[in-house]
Amino acid sequence: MSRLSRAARQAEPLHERARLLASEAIDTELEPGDAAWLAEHLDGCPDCRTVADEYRALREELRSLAVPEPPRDLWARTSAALDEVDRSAQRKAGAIRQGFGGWAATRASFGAAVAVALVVVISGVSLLSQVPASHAPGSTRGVAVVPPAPLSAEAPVAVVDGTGYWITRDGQTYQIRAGSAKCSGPSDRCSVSSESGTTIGSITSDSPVFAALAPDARQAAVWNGDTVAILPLVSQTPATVAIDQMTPRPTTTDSAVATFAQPTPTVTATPTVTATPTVTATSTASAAITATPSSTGTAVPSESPTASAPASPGASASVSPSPSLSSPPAQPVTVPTAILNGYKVVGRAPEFSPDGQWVAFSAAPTNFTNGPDLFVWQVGQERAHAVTSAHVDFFSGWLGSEILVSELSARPAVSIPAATSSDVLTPAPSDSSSPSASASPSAEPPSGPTTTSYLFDPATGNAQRIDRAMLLPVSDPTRTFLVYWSGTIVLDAVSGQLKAGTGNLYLDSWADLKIEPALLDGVGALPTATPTAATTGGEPSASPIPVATTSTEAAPSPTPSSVDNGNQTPSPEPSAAPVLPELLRASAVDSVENWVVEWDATGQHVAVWVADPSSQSVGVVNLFAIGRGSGLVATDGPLFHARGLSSIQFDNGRLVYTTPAEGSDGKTYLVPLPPTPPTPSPSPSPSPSPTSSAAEAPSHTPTITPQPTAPPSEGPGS
Amino acid sequence: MGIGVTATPDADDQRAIESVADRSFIEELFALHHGEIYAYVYRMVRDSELAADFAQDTFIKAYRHLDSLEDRAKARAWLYQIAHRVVLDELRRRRIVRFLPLVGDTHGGAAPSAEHLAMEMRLSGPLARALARIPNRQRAALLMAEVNDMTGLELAEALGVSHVAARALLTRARESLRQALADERREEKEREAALDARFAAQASIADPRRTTASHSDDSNGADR
Repeated sequence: MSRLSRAARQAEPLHERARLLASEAIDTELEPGDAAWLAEHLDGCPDCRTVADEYRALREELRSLAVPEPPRDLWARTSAALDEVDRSAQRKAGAIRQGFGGWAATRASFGAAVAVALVVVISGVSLLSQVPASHAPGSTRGVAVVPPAPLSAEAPVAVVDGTGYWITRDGQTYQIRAGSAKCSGPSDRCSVSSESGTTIGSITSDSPVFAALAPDARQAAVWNGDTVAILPLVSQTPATVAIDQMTPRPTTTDSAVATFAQPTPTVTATPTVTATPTVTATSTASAAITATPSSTGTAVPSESPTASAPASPGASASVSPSPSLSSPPAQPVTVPTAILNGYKVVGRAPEFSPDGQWVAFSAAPTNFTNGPDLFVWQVGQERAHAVTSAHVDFFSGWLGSEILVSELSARPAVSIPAATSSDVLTPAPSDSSSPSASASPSAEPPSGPTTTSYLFDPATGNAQRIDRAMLLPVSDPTRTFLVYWSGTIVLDAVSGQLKAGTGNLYLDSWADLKIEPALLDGVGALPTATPTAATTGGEPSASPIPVATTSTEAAPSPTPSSVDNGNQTPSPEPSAAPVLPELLRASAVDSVENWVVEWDATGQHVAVWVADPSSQSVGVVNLFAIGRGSGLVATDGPLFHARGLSSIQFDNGRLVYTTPAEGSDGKTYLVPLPPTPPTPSPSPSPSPSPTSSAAEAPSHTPTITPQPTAPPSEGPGS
Repeated sequence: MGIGVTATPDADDQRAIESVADRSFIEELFALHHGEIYAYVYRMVRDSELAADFAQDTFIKAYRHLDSLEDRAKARAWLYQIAHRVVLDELRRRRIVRFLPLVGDTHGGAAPSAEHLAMEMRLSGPLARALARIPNRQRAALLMAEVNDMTGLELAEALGVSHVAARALLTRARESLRQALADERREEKEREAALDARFAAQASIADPRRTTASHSDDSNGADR
């Protein structure tokens, strides 16, 4: 061993000691001797000095992280859990005392009642100033009113032809139940209930389970925090399976496919779903899907008779007359099948494709080492497969046989070559403040985080990039319009995450979008390029900073609107003909950060749920009518609005929504849509809408005619 | 709690009084510390829903085991100790991520919408990612000491170790984080370079048939 290496080895403990002391010096005052030794060592050891400096810098960086705010309902839920502890203790005490006669029991329950009452008073005093006003401190919610087991989810998984599907929970057992609608009130106010019905699927999980129904209701995609699985739904008592113990692979699906002999219309075989003749609109919508792809300029083969199924699980009976399937679809799984483990679903809920042959969703590793990627699973496959690898992709919905993918990337968008960008059919607004002005992709490319959207065909692998700055677009099934969020992307200072800042929802026309072939996620080109959404400027600072604008939000919205509560004064309406994209005013607040968009099967109505600013689960449900011919939307106000949960959907020409249990009746309602508007008259009235209430018919909008048979109304939750 | 067959009416009254006092105390603790406990837990798991669950669990466990708090002046460190155990237990069990109710409300149950959680999707900066890379106990020590301003004694109490051991753990944590951060920043540069190349490739693509589906490996999500 050389003298040099020996010296280095001998010096190692000294360096170790120096680092130890440098670290301790941050937390405490060193002993004088240690401090002097450290100073001397650092003087002669540049490496150790660097390390010591980095330790101090780390401390500063860590301390500069913003403080994450606890959720507003933390107290409410904790209080309720504390109540449960109290009740449990009381029950235990009561059970023990029962053998000692009525007096003791009476006395004990009296004591317990006193205790609860005192708790309410004391907690009210001690916490009133610390907890959100929306939740009463010391709330006794749940003390007196305990829902009977099994606890029912508040909103159905799906409503198909009036049959509601719920997940009910009893401890760690989750059951999918099907029950019929009950029209307890007027015929236009049927409500469905989970109280009755049959169990068609059952699983256990130590974390909450969610589900998405296949269009034929014969199987469901179910998921918890770690696993996505396919669960066959059966009408007879299903066996209960543990989702957490599902191995990646049963062996049945292959054989199921192999033994499949002849295609059969799937819906008719389902006992819980009945085909109805009312779904012709769905069928025509489906036809439109197959007809339009050619307009995108890509050679999407029309092999997708797949569109014979409805676009949403809520309208399943459309399989109908002539499936004319070019290839037999694989049969549903026959045993519960885990298709992805170790991942957590993020973004829009998993959805079956309209033909029921695929499930698409976005998911991220449960430990969040990466962002989300798009996954698809096809009936018959063993596993779901990631089709992106950039970890910035969200499932945004099905459109026929294609998938809308929304990418939220820290990277700048690809610059559009000047020669092609001018081809974009961006509306030419006469009003410079129109959001479309800045939505033009030919504008300056943003320099910060960007949003990119793709249409991806899982069958062919073809991808097309949609040239519009938008997030999570949701298209109507006829590929005429789409609704998306646009606004400012911000970097959350807490952990350097990109998220929506100020923005709103817009209606846009497919005709205005430029679509071009693209690589989805660099597949096939750079398989190793797996960015984890690099941040644009190092560590985040102490507060959320707008780092990019996706552009439609750049200018204040000019769109007049009578807000759903009717309290806001409409602003002047532009006199020029309406242009797209149009603001969908679905909330009283200026910025939408939490929303759900669902189209009906005909593409003539779109439902938008926007969360209350103070809530993540309760908000306002809006129903808008879209003028097909002119491309106008009744943005002056929704046809219908009500307070509700975000579980909005359509079922055979009815809007399905659920009112919140608190402050309303907690029921699920089916509200008929207004009849299809006649051929739209072309001339919009330039006069500002006088509407101050959403209950008024949007008479100035040419595409929406007053519907005397189904007047715009407010739901019971309003 | 002393509840048993020997209970007398007087004992019942006494229990009721104690129960009220305990409830009041735990609510006071909540008022004083729920913010920092939530922040600590959040930074450990980087998931707002999980963090809320764990923060709630912390106070519930504290309420249930209030008897084990010998000195109420040390309640803060005791709360951290509980929170620390709650978090580490869960991380060990790999139930790291209780299902975010992101899609729950889309199809059943009161929860944030999918889109909301999409917005919240974690795309971490280098420091947050580096923090996630170091061992859980080291991360806990670092967060408690550096971010949550715990004293050395409180830290030792919360971690359930001696003062000397806590300091040593802290030093190891600093060194781990320093190296992890260096790695993160280097890898970030590499990713950016790769991404630049990808975007360049994408911008130049003309033939749609070159676009193919990827069935890339999805096994990269194993918990550490």
